[in-house]
This record gives sequence, structure tokens and C-alpha cells, in this order.
Amino acid sequence: MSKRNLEGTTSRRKFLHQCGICTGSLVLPLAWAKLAFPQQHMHMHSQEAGGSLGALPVAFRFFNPAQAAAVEAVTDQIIPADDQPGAKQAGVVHYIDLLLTGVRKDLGPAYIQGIQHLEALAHGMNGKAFVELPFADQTKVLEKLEHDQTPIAKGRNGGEFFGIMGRHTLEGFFGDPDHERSSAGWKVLGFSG
Amino acid sequence: MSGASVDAIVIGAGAGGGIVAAELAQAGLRVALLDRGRNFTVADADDNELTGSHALYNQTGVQRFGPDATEFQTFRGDPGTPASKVYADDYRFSLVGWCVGGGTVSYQGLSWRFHQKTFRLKSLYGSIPGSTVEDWPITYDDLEPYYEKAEYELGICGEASPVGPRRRKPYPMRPLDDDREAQLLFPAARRLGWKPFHPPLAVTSEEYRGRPGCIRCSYCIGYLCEVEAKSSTAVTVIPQALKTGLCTLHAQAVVREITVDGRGRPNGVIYREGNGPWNEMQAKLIVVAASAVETPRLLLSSQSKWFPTGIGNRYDQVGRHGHSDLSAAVFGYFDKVVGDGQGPGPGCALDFQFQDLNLQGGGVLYNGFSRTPLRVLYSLPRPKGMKSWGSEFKEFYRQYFWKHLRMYCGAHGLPREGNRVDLDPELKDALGMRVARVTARAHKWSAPQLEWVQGRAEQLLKEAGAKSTTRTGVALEPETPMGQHALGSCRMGSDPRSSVADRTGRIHDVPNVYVADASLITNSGGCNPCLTIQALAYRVSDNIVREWKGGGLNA
Repeated sequence: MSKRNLEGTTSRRKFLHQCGICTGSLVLPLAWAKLAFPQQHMHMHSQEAGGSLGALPVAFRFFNPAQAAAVEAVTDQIIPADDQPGAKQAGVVHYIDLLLTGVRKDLGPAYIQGIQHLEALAHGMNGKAFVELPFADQTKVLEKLEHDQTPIAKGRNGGEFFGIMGRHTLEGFFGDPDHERSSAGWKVLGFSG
Repeated sequence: MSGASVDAIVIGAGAGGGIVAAELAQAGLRVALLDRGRNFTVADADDNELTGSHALYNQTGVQRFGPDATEFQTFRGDPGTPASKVYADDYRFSLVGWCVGGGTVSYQGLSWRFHQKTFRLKSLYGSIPGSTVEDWPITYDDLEPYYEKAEYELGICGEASPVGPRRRKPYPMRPLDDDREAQLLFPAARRLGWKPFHPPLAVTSEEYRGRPGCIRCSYCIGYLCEVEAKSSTAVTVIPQALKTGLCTLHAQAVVREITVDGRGRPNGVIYREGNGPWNEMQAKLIVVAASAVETPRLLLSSQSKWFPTGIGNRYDQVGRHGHSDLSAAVFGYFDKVVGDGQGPGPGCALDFQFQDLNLQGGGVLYNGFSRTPLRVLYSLPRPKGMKSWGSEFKEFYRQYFWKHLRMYCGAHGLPREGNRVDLDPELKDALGMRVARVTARAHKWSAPQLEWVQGRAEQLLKEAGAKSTTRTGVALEPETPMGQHALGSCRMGSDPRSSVADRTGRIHDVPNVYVADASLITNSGGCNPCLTIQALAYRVSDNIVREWKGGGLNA
């Protein structure tokens, strides 16, 4: 449902598609890398013909394994899989991880304390870590977090932290992919750029 | 300080300033065109919602086309109340693009002429309580030749409103071909007995003066056009100005104040480029075109023994009367696909200005904007009670991404008593300049107009097959930062006690300082203001050139 095959206008876009970043089996979208490394992106942009960002390690750069698992479970709640993939399958937790090492470094403390708060809520309600809860119980914890007024970091409360995670998840899922793997969100919509 | 010297300094290279620079340079004046923002080129185009759009840029609150994250204003609804610090990602920030080309780089390009009655609201309706509305010092007929010039010089496509003002010539370009939304809306509007037409857009529908026709991509409003099909001043008149060899463009150049000589005549500016030192530049005349917030800020900051409260502020008028036209939306939900992803978006319009005797003012209605995933995600209203996450939400969004239509509803705004742009009494920016403080609410006069147009939008959507509709965005006397359509803060008028500039755009009692931006607009129309800014800029330029040739600016 789109127009993007008109001659002479797609070379830049094609280029962006061609230089997706491959590391092992996991391929992260270039747009995500731009958010993590804006300076390198600027450099790359200035020498489009043949520029490259090099390999982007798959390992988490901001989250520790437990935090990554919790945030991944949250993204799975925000956009669950059905007959089409959800945010977990699209690797959106990596998008958030890259944001927090890149252009949204400022939100790092909010995430660390927010995740602690999420875990406290989960323990309080069910005596377990968030990721260990059944899906429906995770939903209940997040419904509580969504309206939670408890201050967590820098004047932000639990509800606002949930809003930030929700927005980041939607952006990672529906934002421009520049690469096949994360076009899950676009496929859900039938959008092709 | 070292001082360059030119004939004219134009401050602000946006919708108005770019035009003035071109006109003055083509008339033989040596011009310096200064803008505090960057000079983007087509290589900066980035069709990516995360990294290329004005509003979402990098998730940081930075606006892609300026201002940067350090710039702020202060805002409050009413005089006498405390103002809060607001940054550019805050809806209370009066935002336009801060770059060469200004808002025209990233706007949607709606290019209406104001209705002739818009210039005479006070004569039509009398005094309106709580408003400071006055008739314009010029008529529509005075401005008509300049509307025409703007349409041809910039490149506007579309059709004349069948109930719009008199015009001598058609638009220079045919309308864009109908996309799926337009194909649905035109017959529906005709079945209702209405007169739909293709809205005027600053977009090329075919090759125009060396620029290619629009490729109909989805990345239009909020984006720099990747093929230069959007008729921004950055790709039209500013190149004309530079081609003369008489105009120099200074990007990332901040002006601190307008200087005054020993006889009280303005004679230049103090400015700096990039991180360089403050410099002086001298000129015979100065044109301020920095937006309806930054223009009054600069005039008020230019204090001297001759102008103790700022240039043009003898009667305390600078910054008063600021307002904007108003808008709201209606969304229609269909059980069939109604969009096809083609930009720019607006393809079918209705003009309801001055059409109903029971309604004062009125406004326009059109569909849009282009359909990209995050833009739609953040604007499409959900059914009551539905969460903004989870499987139900995913299903809703999947179902309605292509099966909804958004109608833009416009209405006249009014200058409201108490509205003001002035200098914050305490807060300064990183350069030590006092920031603008905006005090503004929308006048309640506009609410019935918006609701009336929304009613028409619902009728149209239902006729087109919508199963349901949802309204967004009308509030009575909302606090409003004047938004992206800020105007009227240095308005033109015949009485210096109630206006800042005269009918030529020259500041009352100041022989060589002109205003040529949205500040000048005496009151809004029921539609987007940009072409009126541009027609006024052509008219102001004509006045300056005539005065210049007559020797009046060579004192």
C-alpha cells in the first residue's frame, strides 16, 4: 500500500536498508543504532557511499540480565504476540537498552529504580519476581503500576515510569525499522514506508 | 566589535524573512539574512519517524528543525500568575522551526488566502467582550496582488475555494491527483450538497521552476522534503536571494539587540555566529521576521535612552494581542480500508468561513495528515475504557490504522485581552538574554466555530460510511501557548496606541524598522496563516523598495 518504488528517489533509503547491522544471528535495526550512537551516525551520514557502523555487539549495554528479562516481559505485555509477533519477538528490549546508553542516558536512573519498584510490586502481590509470574498476573501488576503515584526517581512516580516504558516499547515496535527483523510492527499494520 | 555594513538586515529566514531578503536583493539592496537556526539541505532529509521528524526527534525533546534542548520560554495562562519554564517538547512552548526556512521546512504547506471579511471582523461583529480585535489597516484587495505573487513565486497547487475571496488568477499548479481518502470524501461531500475542493498546498503537483513534482510519500508534515517538492522558503526564495550575489546568509546567527545611533535612529544589530564573539553589523534598515514570539522579544530587548522599554513600544503595544487560529479534529472509524498511504494528506477541503449567519467567523475542514505509524498511534482516539497497551489495543490499532480518517477543523482565533509576549522578569537563556514570557489563552468566541465545523466533519464522515466518529480538542478558553500558528503580537494598525506597525509594515514612529512575519497579522483567519504571512512579506518588501528608491531610507 505505498508508493516507495518511484525511480530516483530511493537510493538513500536503499542504502540504509543495505547497511543493517549483522552480529551473529541477531540483526538490530539501523535506526536503533542511530539512537545509540548519534555521532557515529553523523559520521556515517557524511560518507554515505560505503560508510559503515561496524558490528554492534548483541550483549546488553545498559541492563543486567535480570533487568533485561523484566523489561522484555513488560514489552511482551505492552504488545503481546498473537497470530503476529509482538514486541518481545521484535527484540524491542534491545531498542530500549540502546536508547539508555545513547540519546536517553538521562533516563537510566528512572529505569533502574523503576524496575526495582516493579519487582517490589510483583513481590508484594505474588511473592515472586515479575518474570516468574504467569502472564495474567504480570498484567495485574502492570495495571497497578500504571496508576501508581509512588515516587521512584527524579520526581517521577510509578505511573510515569510505566508511561515511559510503554512509549519506548511502542516506538521500538512501530518506529521505522530500516531492517527486516524489526519490521514486525509495520507488518502488523500493513505499512511499508 | 568589528562592524560589517549592509543596506538591509533581515532577522529571521523563515516564511516572511526569506521573501523579504529575496525581494530586497533583487531590487539591488545589499542584504544580510540572519537566522539563529541551522541551514539544512536536502541531504538532511530523513524519512524516519524516530530520527527524522520534527516532533519525535531522537526521543530527546530536541526538535529536529530547532530549537535545541537548551532553549526555553516561560508560559502562563493569565497575567499576574506565575509562569513556568517550558522547553520545546512541551505543548505549552510556542513552537515553529528555528532554522533557515523556518516552519516552512517541516510544515504541511496549507496555503490559504484569508477571507475578505477576516480583515473586517470588528466592523462585522462590533466590539467583542474580552477581545482587543480591530479592523486591519488594509483590505483584502490591498493584499490580493501579493497573495497572487506568493502563490506563483513559491509554487502552490490546488483549487480556489468556491466561497473564497475574489482572485484574478488560478493557482499556478493543478491539484495533486486524488488519493483514496479524497476519492471517498469528494462524492460524500457532494451528496450533502456541499462544494468540496482541493486545498491549496505548498507542494509541487508537477515540475515547477526546476523542482520535481511530489512523489506522494508518507513523510510530509514534520519532515524536510527529500525531493524539494515542498515549497519552503529554503528551496524557493532564499536561493533566489543568494543568486543575486547581493545577499549573504548567516545561519546559526543570534541577534541580541537592534542598535541605535546618537540621534535615536536604529542603525544595526549586535549578533554572533556560532560560538563566535558578539559583533556589530550596520544597516540603513532593519526587518524583523523572527516569529510572533521572537520578534517582540527582540524589540523589547532593544532598549536605549531613545527607546527605554524597547523599539516600537512607546505605547506598550509590543507583544500584546498575540493569538492564533484554532484547530480541533474529528476521527471517523470505518469497516473498510480508507487510506492508501499517499502523502501529503490533505486532499479534500470545505470552506465554512462566513457561510452561516448564525455563526460568527467560521473555519475550514480538510482531511489529513499523512499516515505514519507513530503519528497515528499518538493521535488516534481509542474507545472509552480501552487501555493504551495489551492485546486489545494491538488489535484496535491493527484494525484501524487503514480504516480511520482524520478531519482537521479550523476556526478563527481572536486577540484576547491579557495575552502578551514580553520578557521574563528573571530568567535568561545560555547567552544571557532574557527569555520570552508568553501569557495566553484562546478566546471563548472560537469554541462555537470549532464545534460547528466538527459537526460538519461528523456529517461528512458518516456520509462517507464511517460507523462512528470521535471529536478531540475543543476546550473553552484553554490556556494556549499560541502554538505553531502564533501571530498578531506586533500587529499592524492605523492607531499607534493599539498597534505596533503601520499599514506598510513599518513600526510606528520608527523610520527604518519593519516587521515581516506572523507578528504583523492583525487577527487570524479560520485557516492556516502561512500564505498570509508571505503575502504580507511581499507587500512589506514592495513598500521598502519604494521607500528606498525614493531616498526615504538613506538618512
